[in-house]
Amino acid sequence: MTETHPPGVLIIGGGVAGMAAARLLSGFEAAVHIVEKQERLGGHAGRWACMATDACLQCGACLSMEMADHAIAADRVTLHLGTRILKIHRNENGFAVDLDNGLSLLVKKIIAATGFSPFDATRISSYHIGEFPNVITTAELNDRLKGERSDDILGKHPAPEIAFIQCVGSRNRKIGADYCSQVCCKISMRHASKLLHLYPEAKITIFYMDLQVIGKEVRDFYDRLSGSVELVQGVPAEILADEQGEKLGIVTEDRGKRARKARRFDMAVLSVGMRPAEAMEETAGLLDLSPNSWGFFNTSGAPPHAPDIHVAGCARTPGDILSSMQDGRLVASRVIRDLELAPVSNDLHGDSEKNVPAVAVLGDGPQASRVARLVAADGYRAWLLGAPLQADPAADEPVGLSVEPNADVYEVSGTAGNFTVGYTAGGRRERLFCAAVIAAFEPHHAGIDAGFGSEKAVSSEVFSAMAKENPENLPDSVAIIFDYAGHENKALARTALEDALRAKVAGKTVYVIARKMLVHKADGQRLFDRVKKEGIYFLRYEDASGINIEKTADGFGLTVAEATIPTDHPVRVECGLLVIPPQVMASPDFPDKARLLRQRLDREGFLQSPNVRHRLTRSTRRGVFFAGSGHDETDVDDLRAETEDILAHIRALSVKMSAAGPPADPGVAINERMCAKCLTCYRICPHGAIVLNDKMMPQIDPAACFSCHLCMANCPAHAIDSEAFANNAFAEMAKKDKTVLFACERSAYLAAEEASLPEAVQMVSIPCACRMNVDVMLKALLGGASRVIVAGCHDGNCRSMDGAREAALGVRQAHRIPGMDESRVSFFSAAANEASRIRRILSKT
Amino acid sequence: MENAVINKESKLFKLSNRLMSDDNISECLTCGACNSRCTWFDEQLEGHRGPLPRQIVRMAAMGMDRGLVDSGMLWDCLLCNRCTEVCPMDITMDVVVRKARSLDIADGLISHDMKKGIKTRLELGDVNGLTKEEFVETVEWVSEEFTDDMDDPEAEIAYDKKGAKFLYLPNPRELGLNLLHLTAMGKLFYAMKETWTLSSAHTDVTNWGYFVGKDDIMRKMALMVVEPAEELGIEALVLSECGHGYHVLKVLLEDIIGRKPKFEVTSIPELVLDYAKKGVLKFDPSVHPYKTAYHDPCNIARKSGVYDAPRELLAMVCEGVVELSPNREDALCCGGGGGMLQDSESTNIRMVTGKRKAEQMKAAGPPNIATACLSCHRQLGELSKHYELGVRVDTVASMASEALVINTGASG
Repeated sequence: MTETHPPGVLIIGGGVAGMAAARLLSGFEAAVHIVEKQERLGGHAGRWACMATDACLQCGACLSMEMADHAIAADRVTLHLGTRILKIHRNENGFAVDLDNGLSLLVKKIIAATGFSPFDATRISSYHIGEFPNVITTAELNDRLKGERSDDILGKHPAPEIAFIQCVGSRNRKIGADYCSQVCCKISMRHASKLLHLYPEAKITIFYMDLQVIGKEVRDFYDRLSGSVELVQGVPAEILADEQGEKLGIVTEDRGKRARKARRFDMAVLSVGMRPAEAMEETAGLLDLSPNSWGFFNTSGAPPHAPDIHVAGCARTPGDILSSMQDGRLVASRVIRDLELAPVSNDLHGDSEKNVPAVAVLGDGPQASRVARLVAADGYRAWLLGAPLQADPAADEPVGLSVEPNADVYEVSGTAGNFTVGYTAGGRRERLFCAAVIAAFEPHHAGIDAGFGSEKAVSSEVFSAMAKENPENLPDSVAIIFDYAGHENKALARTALEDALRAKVAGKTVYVIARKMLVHKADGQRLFDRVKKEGIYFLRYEDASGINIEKTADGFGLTVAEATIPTDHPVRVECGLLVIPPQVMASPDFPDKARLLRQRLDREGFLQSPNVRHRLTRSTRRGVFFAGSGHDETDVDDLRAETEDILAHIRALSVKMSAAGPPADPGVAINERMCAKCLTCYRICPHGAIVLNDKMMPQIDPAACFSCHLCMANCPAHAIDSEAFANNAFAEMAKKDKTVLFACERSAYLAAEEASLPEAVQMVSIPCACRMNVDVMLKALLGGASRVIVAGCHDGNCRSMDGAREAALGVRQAHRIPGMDESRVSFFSAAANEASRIRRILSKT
Repeated sequence: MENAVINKESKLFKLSNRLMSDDNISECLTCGACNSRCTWFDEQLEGHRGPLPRQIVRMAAMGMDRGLVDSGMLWDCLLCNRCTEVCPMDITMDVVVRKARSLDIADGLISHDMKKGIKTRLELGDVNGLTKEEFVETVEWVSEEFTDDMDDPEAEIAYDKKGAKFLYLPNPRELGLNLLHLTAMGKLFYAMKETWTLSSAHTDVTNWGYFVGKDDIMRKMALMVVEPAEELGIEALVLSECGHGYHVLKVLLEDIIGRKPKFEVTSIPELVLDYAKKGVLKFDPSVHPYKTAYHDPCNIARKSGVYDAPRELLAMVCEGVVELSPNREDALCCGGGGGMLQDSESTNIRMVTGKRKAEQMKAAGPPNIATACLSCHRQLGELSKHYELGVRVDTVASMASEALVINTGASG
């Protein structure tokens, strides 16, 4: 067997994890092969419907379309679609892989991204799926939404009553699935939002076990749905045919009456969990991998018995689209490191090993230390600015880590590969030149003041220290209240639960009082089970007003309206120590940090908008990244994964940075003679791509520019030139008497490519809808177009943030022009995975 | 309103939180699945709101003995285990409720009939108070009739016959109101050409210790069956069609008496099916020229896992089996379980708890239903009458007996 060059990497599975791995690898000298048994790439995400209502709901499914496009176009990625693996033979050089298309591949590494299968709901006979036509799974609801077929069931009801039943096939020890599938609560919340959007009169009830409100976008759904959707704790396990036959009957607890009541619904959606892929055993056999007791290959690195085999995405553990993509990148990044793959076209810096890029880590607490260590350990020069390095006895003191603990950063300018970070430290003014910037700021932990001002009521951090150091010294009984003053933070909840176990093991009586127990991560359910099994009392309450806390001689007396026992039996809990985890909130200085980084805050004031084009770790600026709980709800493991993900992104950036010749031409340039120096462009550029040159003239940094053309559309002096999208070009583009569809290349264009367009429609791909200001719409009409339609991303999904809003604004302006027939200029938003919707909209033209 | 305190010292807490076989009720996820499965559905009636299974489990887990006893849920519960079937943690509701019923402070809730039945069963070996003399008199008279019916002097209904292969344990109704059923069963044994006997020491299949949850009573009653049966040296104990009797004597027996009995335990439908499969028994299905719906008794189906045998037998003795919906694991309780049918004052409640069952019977179409439990049989019959369903209710074994193709006479 001979060495192959470039080294081969086999990716099994063309879902989002596999495609994300391929995308990263495609920038390196490797021969990447994706073997996918389906005829198309995308996996489950590729079949997922867009959940957007008035705005994007941040599921990320549309990204799979763009990723598939990229994989198809990538030079060094070979696709084997509709193909199965017959045999994998390991030899001294790697693996020989026989495919059923007759090909044999020689590869060094294998990435198993074989995904999951949805739980087969027919296994729970009492739901009567398949028997009652209006009982469907989330997967089927998705198909109906995607194909715009939800009217079959719901169309005949003016105000359809819809039930979502969570945890079908999850958190169920009896069926061998004692884990939370991680995604179903958010899926149902998205589905509920979507259905409310489509059927505003719908009455939706979500029956949940413990609604997993985790993450910035999910807290947002929860807060918004709380008013419009009925959220009911308790998951019905049976659906009955109504006597009249039409409706479905579900019996639930009538707590007030201490009895049961029957509810009637027009449709029930079973929120089915994630199970191992149906072909799991086949995969295990081919790769000689042992699944865990649930059937997942829970190893992210190369397992010792199977070196050079990596598992990514839902084949490893259940996760959502964004986390699966992240997992794919992490694994690809490890492959790149293990095989020492060289970036493609590495002519410029290929020889200079000394030229190690520097990475600035901005922070003010322990998370920044962890990130900086990981960055340095990966071989980069890490600069920790603004936080002292936290001692970590478990980690070696990494080489290449510099610390400026008192740095006060006032400037982050430039772009990937070429940042200037200005800071003051001890009166000095310093500048750091670096390739990337990671913002890892600490959020604010607001202690809950329950109004008793005693040292006995402590935050979970204080409890944690006590439980870890001297659990014996804890008072005899400890009560922990979760979710008391707002959404529980998953990291704090997990720590508190682990500390509760420590206290229990030390012989203390422990009460866990929760509204909705967070059971995130693979072992979350098992930890919860263990907590109960060890004899920690679990009480459930409905809302904070149901807990009365009073000070007693020895600590606290709690009277809890326990949700699962009769209302006339409030449970009295006496405890020597009361633990209330703090609320994790945006730090008051986050607006300053956001301005520093030229980034937006999310609704709650955390760093980073929820836009999936950038999440989990990126920003609108190339080379500026976020890590840790200052930007999203993360725990220690997430922080590690995020850092690895950022390093994967930096690896991909370094490909671009080291590419031969000048950076790619963005196609836009500022015409200095016409520039009025108003700095509109500098102000509005979402990507930080406008820099001021020596003459204080704005200039476009090609390395930072995403070619969105926002600057051009907004330049009052018409001083920005575009090669492909000059104002006048639009008149020429438009064909006579056609409906011209200007479609964003990342969303509507991809969807329209899948939909066959009517003859009368001429489609033009544009880099971002923001290019379409009123001027160019008029130009196209003057050029002979009968109508102009602009199609951009859903609000909140634009890579350049406001592209679609800009276009919609242009349309409104056009409508205000005297004599303008409004029907001639219009805007709609669409995602890359909305072919059916685009077909419907355009068929009306 | 009085505050409840989690009481680790409570009797129920100690009974229920023993981490046995992953059946620890403190592990309850409070998912609420059980609440949607109660046989009471959304029904209630004056003074009986029906159970909320989750509240039962949770109150038991917290040691709220008094609160649970006072809730009225304990004897409203039908012990049908429909809730258990969907519990993700496999918490077995009939076990929880029976433990709670066993509390001394719950003794006052036990119905008059139940108390009386237990007393007479322990004293006389028969729940209806049949004395040994009455038993002998009855059986001898039935046996004579049987010999005539069969036109075979060898045909008999024996009792206390040592060395018989089978010991048949009848339902108390077979020795009282429904002697014809005993004769019908006798026909089946006769056609099997096997030796069989009754026992005068323990005349019936019931074990009401199960309903009141008292392990000592359950054990005494079980030993009243086991020990004399072992003395007779039988090969197998054949249970009449009785749900809780089957569950206790077939599934729970070893736990209750702490050892294996020296005989096999089976039920009459299962035994008949065996002999039919061997070709010994033959049936003429045209005796019942109609399709019959099968009702799964909770104790035999969900609680003991027997679903197919009665259906197979039923299919041999009529035109075919029709399924009720839902059925098998999800089957609806007849509404008379948990000790209801053993309480003569429960009729009005049973007509409420059986309402869904009645609707189901109505929806099933064919006017014939069969089951393998004489308690269910009685309840279904009463439902049919009360709700004017016009459904004819049978038991599987009696239909088998009716359809039996038999050559009477000594030479066979």
